[in-house]
Amino acid sequence: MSLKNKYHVFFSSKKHRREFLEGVLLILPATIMNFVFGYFAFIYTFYLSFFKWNYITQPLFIGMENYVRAFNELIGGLLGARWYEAPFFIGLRNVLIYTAIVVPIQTVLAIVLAAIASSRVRGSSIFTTSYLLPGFTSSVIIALIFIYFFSQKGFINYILNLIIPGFGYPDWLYLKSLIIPAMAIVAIWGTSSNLAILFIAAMQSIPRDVLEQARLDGAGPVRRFIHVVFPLIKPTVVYAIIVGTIGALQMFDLSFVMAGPQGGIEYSGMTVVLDIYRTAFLLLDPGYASAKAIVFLTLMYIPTVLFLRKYGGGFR
Amino acid sequence: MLRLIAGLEDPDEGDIVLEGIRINDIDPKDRNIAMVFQSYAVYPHMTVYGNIEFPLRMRKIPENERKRKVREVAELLGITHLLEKKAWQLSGGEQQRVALARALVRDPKLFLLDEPLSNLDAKLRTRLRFELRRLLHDELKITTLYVTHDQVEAMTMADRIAIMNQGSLVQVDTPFEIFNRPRNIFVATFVGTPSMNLLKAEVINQHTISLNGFIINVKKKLEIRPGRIILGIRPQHLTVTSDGTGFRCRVTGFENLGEEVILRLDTSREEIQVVAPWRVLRKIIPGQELTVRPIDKLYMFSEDSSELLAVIEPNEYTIPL
Amino acid sequence: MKKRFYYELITILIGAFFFIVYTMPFIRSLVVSFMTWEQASQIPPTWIPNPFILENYMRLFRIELFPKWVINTLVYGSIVSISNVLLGLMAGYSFALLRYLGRDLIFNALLALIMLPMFVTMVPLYVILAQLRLIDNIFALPLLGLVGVNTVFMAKQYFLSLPREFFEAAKLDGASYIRAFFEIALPMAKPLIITITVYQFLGAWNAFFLPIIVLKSPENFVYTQGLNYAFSRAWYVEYTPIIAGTLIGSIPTLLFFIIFRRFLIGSIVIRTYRR
Repeated sequence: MSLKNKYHVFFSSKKHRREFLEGVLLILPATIMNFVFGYFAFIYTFYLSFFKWNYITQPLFIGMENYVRAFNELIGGLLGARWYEAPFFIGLRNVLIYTAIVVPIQTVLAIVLAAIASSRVRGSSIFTTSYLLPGFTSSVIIALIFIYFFSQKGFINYILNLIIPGFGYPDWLYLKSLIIPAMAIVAIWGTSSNLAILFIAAMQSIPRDVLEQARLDGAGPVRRFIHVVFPLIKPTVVYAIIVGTIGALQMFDLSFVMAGPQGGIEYSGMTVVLDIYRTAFLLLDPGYASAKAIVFLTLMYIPTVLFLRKYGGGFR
Repeated sequence: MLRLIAGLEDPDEGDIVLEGIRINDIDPKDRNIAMVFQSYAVYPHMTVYGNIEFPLRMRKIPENERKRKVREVAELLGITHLLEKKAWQLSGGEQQRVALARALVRDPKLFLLDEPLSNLDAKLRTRLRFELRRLLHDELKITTLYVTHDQVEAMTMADRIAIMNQGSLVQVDTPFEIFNRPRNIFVATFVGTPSMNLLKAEVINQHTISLNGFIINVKKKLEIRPGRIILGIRPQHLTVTSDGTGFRCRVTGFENLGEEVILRLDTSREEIQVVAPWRVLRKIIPGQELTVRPIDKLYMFSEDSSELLAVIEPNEYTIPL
Repeated sequence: MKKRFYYELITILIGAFFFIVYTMPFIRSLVVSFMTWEQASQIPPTWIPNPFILENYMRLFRIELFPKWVINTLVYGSIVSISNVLLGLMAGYSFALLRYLGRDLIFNALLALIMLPMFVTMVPLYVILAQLRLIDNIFALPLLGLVGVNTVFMAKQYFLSLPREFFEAAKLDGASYIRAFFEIALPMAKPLIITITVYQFLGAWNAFFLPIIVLKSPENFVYTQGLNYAFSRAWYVEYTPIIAGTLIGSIPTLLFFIIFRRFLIGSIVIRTYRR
């Protein structure tokens, strides 16, 4: 049916008008709420990024100045500006280090966990339950538990000294070099399970006869995994890497709880989103916060799009 | 097709007319057409009573009347004892009755049935076939449109059959006409089991047909131009001869149905089937050669358009010795 | 055969190792929550609380704001659960089963919002809430989360998986689309309703980002926010009451997770299949 015909049928027939009215009525609340809090808010952020404002007085149009400031912070940080001059840069650097640690490890770990969970060995269902639990627990609660473990005389130092004698007793959360790795450990422990669910689902959807055929062909478990399972879950791996990266780059609550809303000692626990939050609500500079948000969103999605172009063949 | 009539889908072109009124743009719920789906679509979360009552409730019929009507229909279909059961507990046959009851309870102008028996086992199907016809046709006298792929259902239940092929209507006729005057090869092979044999033949002149050298003399004048045709003969209309008249075939196999035998024969040009009484089987082994000849109607179809050209009655032709 | 046995053994060993890794923090917390802070900070760690005390929990309950935080969280969780079930299913049903102009366009526009992170919209959200005089009001949170795009998407997939005939039959039986939603679609969506409720409730229980933007005074806090507040204000030189608090905070998660595990994993299976 041609589009023109479609329009004609729609406007001419009472039957279709009624379906349209009722259909729109049903989606109205969901659509309005999400359009207001999504698209409208997004446009509003973009608008605010050109203004100087403090929530109270009349906003003042300042053109690109907020963006210039943001880029100055980034470039200044690169050229070795002092820490208090470049929180945006430090946040970005921290979050990149954090992402580089977290994403590869949690992806591999999630695949291993999912493989154990779907292996049907004795005890695999108890294993599965234990692996998935942290993923459903609040990251704030996990962070609070781990603050205790990361204390100087805490559990982590104890274990590390058992494995590596003479490791010493560093105070993780108060050392500039260790706070980001500490957050990464918490994140890996806490979020691998979310990804593991994804992989469990992907592995469940592999037809059993494919695996059995491979077994009959004489492939052992390891080769079965490499040659049969992995190619079939590859789209999920791509998806997990993208989702994991986007999530890790936006890290906020671990930092907020473990380093504090001001980003810790010399911003050593600062992240970009924490910096945006701080700028907007503690420094009361929503215009600048908006500009930083727009810049970061752009920085975040350009690599994602490139990655999808390259590896996203089986995806979607 | 049924979905178009019910208003669930829109036709690309053309009008749908019910009792003289164009109903294309009328809402399905205002068309007063009832439909029983192939899967029955009995609402699983309601009781049987709730299911049957549903269309009445939607039409804002007062409670007392709803109760009365539901009881009436339930009695008619013999499902009174099921009324309080949840629908998901029912068997296929019971669900089918509930779906029927739900459709009947609102006195529809037109009743649409979409292969209602196809999900049931063979025994139940035969029984319900008979019951459905008695109920809808003889007792309630509702115009019913019944879609089926089963030719036996079509032949036994319908007053008129509409045969469709790939979305277009081929022939609308009484079962008798469909069987005896099929409009084309599609219809001819669709009704009757085993299906009609199709043989390449040639019209030599207005009184002679040649079947690969085997000559049939036709008494009446054929209104067909000489040339190749398709000759259709039902398997029941062929007989095995002992005196050598007929055309020669080789036996390739047979199916024993008890009373009768279906012989599979190879005429060297095509495979044909012949229904023969069981006693001939004793004389037959695969690979054996024998002769068969037509003893009843011959159907002549055009080779190009596959349309029916003529029907030759048994008393209108002879076979020379 | 022997080879297979070794493979299985290795799998079990690795599985057990991760089992310990993933349960240890919870077990350690449980044990520590009954210890004095003095014992909890010993090295090497001890495992049997001596003396065995309930003081950590008692202290927690003595904070007068503590029950307030729990109630706030329950209010938030209940509202978003109910509203997401109702509004999300309505929208999902309409997107899945009705046909009208612009339907797919709107749906795709909604779906694209999944890509929009919260940090981009937080300033305007704050400004909108301030205009509505909802800052520092617990009802601001459910307003923002009334119906999530995820819910709509899950509901659409669910209704697409049901046989169409049920809804066509309802149409022929004379039900309007909205009537059919309440009479047919809603009662047939029990597994979906459970999944959405659990997700929304856990989401509310674990929420942190929006609460710290919206809620200002401690008596309006939600649970995790309050716990973090208690920690950061150094109400205790001792950390053990906080550990006790984290355990209490994990209880709803644990309960929901154990009861509804099947539904949660199942729903994700549906999501990945349809992607």
